[in-house]
Amino acid sequence: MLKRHTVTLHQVITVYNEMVDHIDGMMRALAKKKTQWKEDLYFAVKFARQKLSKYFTEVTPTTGMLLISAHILDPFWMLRSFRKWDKIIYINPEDEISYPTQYQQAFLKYVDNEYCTKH
Amino acid sequence: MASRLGQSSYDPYDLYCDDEEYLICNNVAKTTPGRGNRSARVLKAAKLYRNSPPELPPHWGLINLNLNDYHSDPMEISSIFWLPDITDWWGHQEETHSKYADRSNVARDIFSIIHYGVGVEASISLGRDVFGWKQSKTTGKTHRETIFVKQFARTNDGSLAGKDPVLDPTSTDNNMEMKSEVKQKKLHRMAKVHNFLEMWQGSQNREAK
Repeated sequence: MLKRHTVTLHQVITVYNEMVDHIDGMMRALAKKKTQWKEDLYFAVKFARQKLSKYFTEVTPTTGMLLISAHILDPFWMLRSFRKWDKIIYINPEDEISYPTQYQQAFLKYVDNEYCTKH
Repeated sequence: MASRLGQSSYDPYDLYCDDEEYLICNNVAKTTPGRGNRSARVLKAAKLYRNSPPELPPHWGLINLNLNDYHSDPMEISSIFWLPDITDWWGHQEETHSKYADRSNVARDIFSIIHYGVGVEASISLGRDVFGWKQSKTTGKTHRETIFVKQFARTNDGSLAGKDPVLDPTSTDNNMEMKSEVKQKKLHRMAKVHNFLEMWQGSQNREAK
């Protein structure tokens, strides 16, 4: 991302999503392979996913609000990525526990705390 | 709430999503009672922004994840990384005094942060050890090389020569190689002397005749 001489913060979540999707696809493709090097690759990819999960689960409204805010402020994606996550686990997007709802509220709270109360 | 991981399986190729919900812009822009005009306007813009549809949906139809191609550049797989520059979009909003103009200062503050300085990225990124917050114009190549050199030296007790066996003078193989090189040079020098002696002898013989 450093190749682009422009802002990249808003793409962190997008890149994480792409990496997770790619790793999941790889794991599915390699799951039933019997060749030794493919089995080795499967386990390597599995550990890579664990590592990625460890970091990605840190992106929460508490610990990763800047990343979430930056992603929401991207006018081309906004809450679209988070809405996809709800589809995965079959949660109604309008539900209170849905990702977009929680992140929307967290974003508004962040703006309220950081800007509105200070002016 | 954690992010998406640790949840049930899903289809990673489902990159199309239903945007109907986004197209319903209900403009819930209610001002907060008891606040100043500016505060209310900023919050109103934030609410308005998050309820508006995304701009210019990216070309998702072009995305083609080919999992059999292990050598392809992942950055070339998807077109999502080549979206228009969002700083231009926010700048335009500010210039045209659009309904999101009050939100542009939030965008400016947040987007000025370098990605490897935030949250978990700061803890895993090696770049944070090398460059400061404001050196955002460093190219990726320079960044990569600097980190490589630093890490290489760090893992080799500060020595850039490292533990390269070719450069190790105590190695027997290297000694043999060096000895053979010295021998070759010596032979070359001896050959020169031998040739000189032959030439000298030849001239002596011609003089004697």
